Amino acid sequence: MRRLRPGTATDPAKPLSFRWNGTAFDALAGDTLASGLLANGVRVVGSSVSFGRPRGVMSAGLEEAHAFAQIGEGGASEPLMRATTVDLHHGLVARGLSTKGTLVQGDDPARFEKRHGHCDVLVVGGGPAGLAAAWAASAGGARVILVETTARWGGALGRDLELIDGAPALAWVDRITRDLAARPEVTALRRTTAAVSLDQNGVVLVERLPETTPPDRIRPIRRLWQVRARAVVVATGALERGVVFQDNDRPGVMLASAVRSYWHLHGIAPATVVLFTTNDDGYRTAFDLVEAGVLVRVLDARESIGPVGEQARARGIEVLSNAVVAGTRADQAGLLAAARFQAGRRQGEWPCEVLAVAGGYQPLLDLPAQRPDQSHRIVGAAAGQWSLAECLLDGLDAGVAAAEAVGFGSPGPTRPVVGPDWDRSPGTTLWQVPAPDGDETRSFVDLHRDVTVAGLDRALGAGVRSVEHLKRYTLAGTGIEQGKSAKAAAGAIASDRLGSEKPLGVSTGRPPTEPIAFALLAGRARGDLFEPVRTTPAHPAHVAAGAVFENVGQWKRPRYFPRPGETMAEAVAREARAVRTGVAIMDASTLGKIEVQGADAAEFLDRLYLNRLSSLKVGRARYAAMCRLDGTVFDDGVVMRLAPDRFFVTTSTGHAASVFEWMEEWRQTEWPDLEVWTTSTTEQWATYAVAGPQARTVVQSVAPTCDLSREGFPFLGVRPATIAGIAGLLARVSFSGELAFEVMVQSRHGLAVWNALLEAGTPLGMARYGLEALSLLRAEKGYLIVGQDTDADTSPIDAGLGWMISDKDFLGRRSLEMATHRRSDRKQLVGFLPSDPAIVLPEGAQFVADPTQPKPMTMIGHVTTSHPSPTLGRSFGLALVRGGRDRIGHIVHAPLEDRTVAVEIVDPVFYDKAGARRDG
Amino acid sequence: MARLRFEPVRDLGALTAVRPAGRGQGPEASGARARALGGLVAALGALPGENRVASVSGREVLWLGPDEFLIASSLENGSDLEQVLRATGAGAVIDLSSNWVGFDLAGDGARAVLASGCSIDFHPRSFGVGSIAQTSMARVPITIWQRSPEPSYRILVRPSLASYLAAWVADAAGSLEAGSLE
Repeated sequence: MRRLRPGTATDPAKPLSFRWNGTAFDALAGDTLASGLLANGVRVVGSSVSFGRPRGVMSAGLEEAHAFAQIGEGGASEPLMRATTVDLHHGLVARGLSTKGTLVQGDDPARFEKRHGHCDVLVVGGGPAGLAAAWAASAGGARVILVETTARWGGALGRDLELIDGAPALAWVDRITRDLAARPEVTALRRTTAAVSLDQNGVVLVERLPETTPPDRIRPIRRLWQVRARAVVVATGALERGVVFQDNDRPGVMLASAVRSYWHLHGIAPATVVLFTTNDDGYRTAFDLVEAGVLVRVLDARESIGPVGEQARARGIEVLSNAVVAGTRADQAGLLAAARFQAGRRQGEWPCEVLAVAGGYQPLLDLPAQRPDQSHRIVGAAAGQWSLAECLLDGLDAGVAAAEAVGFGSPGPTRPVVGPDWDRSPGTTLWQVPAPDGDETRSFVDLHRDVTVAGLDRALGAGVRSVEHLKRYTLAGTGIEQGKSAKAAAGAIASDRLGSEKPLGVSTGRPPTEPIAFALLAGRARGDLFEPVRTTPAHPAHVAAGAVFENVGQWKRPRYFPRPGETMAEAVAREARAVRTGVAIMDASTLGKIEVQGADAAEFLDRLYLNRLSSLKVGRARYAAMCRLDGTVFDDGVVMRLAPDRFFVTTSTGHAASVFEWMEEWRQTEWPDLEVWTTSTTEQWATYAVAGPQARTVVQSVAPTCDLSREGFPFLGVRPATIAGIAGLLARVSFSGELAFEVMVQSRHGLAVWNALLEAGTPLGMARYGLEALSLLRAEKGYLIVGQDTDADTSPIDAGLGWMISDKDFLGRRSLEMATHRRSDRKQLVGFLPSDPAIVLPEGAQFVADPTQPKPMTMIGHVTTSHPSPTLGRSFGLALVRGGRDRIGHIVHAPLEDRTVAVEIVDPVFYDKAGARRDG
Repeated sequence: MARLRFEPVRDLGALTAVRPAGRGQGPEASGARARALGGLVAALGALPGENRVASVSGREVLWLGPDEFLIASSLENGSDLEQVLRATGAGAVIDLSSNWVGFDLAGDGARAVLASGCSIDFHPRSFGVGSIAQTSMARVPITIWQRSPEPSYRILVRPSLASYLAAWVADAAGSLEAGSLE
């Protein structure tokens, strides 16, 4: 094929060059990669996936099964793009693919974007029916989104020269698109494919934006639209199908509509064409190419060629009726050289550069097929309307109906006059021409997947009868184009081969209709924006102090604060020692906080927590835990009573949201009569724990007016206080066993108060401590962390919190009273000491009773927390162990990869069992 | 006019959540609720309807739910406003002045930036001056309301997420600048 003239899509004033498989070629703006290759006489674009046969461009659109390319090079490259849907730009680099291609390695410089769209009417398809629908729907002011998958409006009108209102159809397209552009509530998107159909008229669109080489680092190359429409009109048109015959995959065998399309849009034509048609519409290709001076001969499968065929003969075109292509002949390179035909008893061979096949049209319904339950209006060729006049009227009617259904008016009567109209109806149905020699191993049903009629026979021979099984057995219809050119043929030919009266049908297409790159799903959520990050008010101070951070959910929390040259172990030991012997401060602002207010607040909390909170006095705090309905531990925290009807509740960092939702669920759905309200105040407060024997001195110096004495401010007391000049709260709560104060101030003052506390602690050498030291310190005291030292099976009794259970009712109580919760062989939280004090067991290590038993061993528990302790001078830990309390004093074993460690089960409180240190 | 303005609100004033008393069903609860709402109207001048904001003399009253209002006041500090509301006999009153920080997003590029990160429909036909929504943007929970037809929006976000949201909007603004967020 060669370019004989510029087509309607290409601009001769804008030449460009591109590279294909390392060779430079010239083309024009408006070319696709496929048309650029054809214009340069490139006939082979790749080889087939299973058989390695040479393949050429076979279509001009979505149904392309041969021409796959890797676009771009290096980091910006994208695999498995159809050459027929890639718009050329200057400098584009591409190479043909026969298999998978390669994904981007390393950083992808291309940008991807997401966008939410809302409209009254979404019209999918910018052909005649879709344009008419969008025009009619938007006339009364409705918000309309119109999408067209190709780069041009008008669909088939670009290749089918018809007249609307006495003028070329493209003039009508121009008029309609100008009207649409002038309507402010219309969004008209080309190069945009409706890929996924969702509930409630949700449709996901993929918009392809202009690309450059090298890639632009700011402008996105794709945009993912999540559209919610009140009504959807589907005008996706129809695709021409081929006919299966022997050697139907040769480079040069093309769809007749594609040959016509390349001529009109791109000015590209072959020198000789044989047209193989089952219908009148195929003749358009013959007529249009003859005018271009191309030698065209026609094989018409119908017994009677009808008036259109007679017209062809009258124009001097050779037409054989009752004629089929029985096979093709190739030259030495494997390229199409001739079409072998059979016309009644006559057999022969016509040399040709292109064999144009017109097998009739089939509606493209892969989008509505995803969700048949959605009430989309399907119009035009997608609904089997086979004439332009019908398509236009169908579109207009659907547009009016859709707009009226969502409350908008319609345009006055407008009925475009089409003439002369062509019949696109299927003519005679012909799926396959049997191979004359009976060899069906080269008769391709799915050109992309290399599935032949012989392959279908194998599947049928194996007993396959369902079209879904056929798809999976043969892979017909599983390609990137989702079987657009193969699915229907596979089902129909299989029915024929079986002699089945009932057609097997068409296999189900799944979303998306077009591949969606993962990078597009990510959108902006890459690099620093990958995931929302939460930081506390004092975060800048932690960064400045050289903190090593740990991700706790979305929070960044200091794990430890190494001094120059310090290892993590050294830093953690120093921080922990500071708490035990001096004073240290940590940022506990991420703790969940909920304020519970109302006359019934105490009753509400009594129903939620294991312990009785209605007996808590104002100005006092209590450690409390709650269960799920199954009696397992849900969360723990401190409940502080600020006033008779006001409680300040803390939750663990990770459960802040779920505890709040749990409270709201019960408050709203089960106990709507309680006068109680909950409010998340997590970020209202910055919370700092000052812990250690000298904590009182530090806090006193920033809260000079507050009585912090042992008697005046007892353990678990809560007081309003002015801290570093800021009104806040002080609480005597300790998660380390040492004297400790929790300082709470409004978070807007958090950084200032953090700095003030640090300054106050400087004379005493106050350290900062992080999560690692905290975990060590609390484990020494046997304080558990819900979710680390408990799992979804741990009851409060198992966790050693049985003392909390009061005599009132609470959520989970009935479950806890079941016999299963009284069993002595439940996994219970205990302490352990490795026999070798230098060995720190990995968290998650399993325990067995008998290390000599054969594998698989019977596991009796696992390590939940494990640390080396500078205070104890040895390693220790917490574990959930079956019947653990009965094993205290006994030895169990932890089989590790390279050795087995003997471990003594002990009481979980390792340090200050009497609790003497909490008052300082 | 600048296509997009996005800036932190320097002084958001006091933010106070108020929950009208009178939960449950039956004439007694309804009566209590009516009295509580009446008390709030008397104290504030007005209460907004569903998904609306009422702006009365230096205060914005945000509807957050059937039993939840958030009052943004530039008139008084948090504890003073708390006293005013407590005096109405409200069920619960909580100072949330530090629980949120504010951003103003304005200009004719604002809707494009919002559409790229938030699933709410900000078209004037469905979200205009005085409309409010609690939603998420860039996977960050936000409360957003429109304050002027320009359009300009005020966004409340938790302080911990403010830097992330600001970085995200700056990235989107780069795309807007490049003309790709049309």
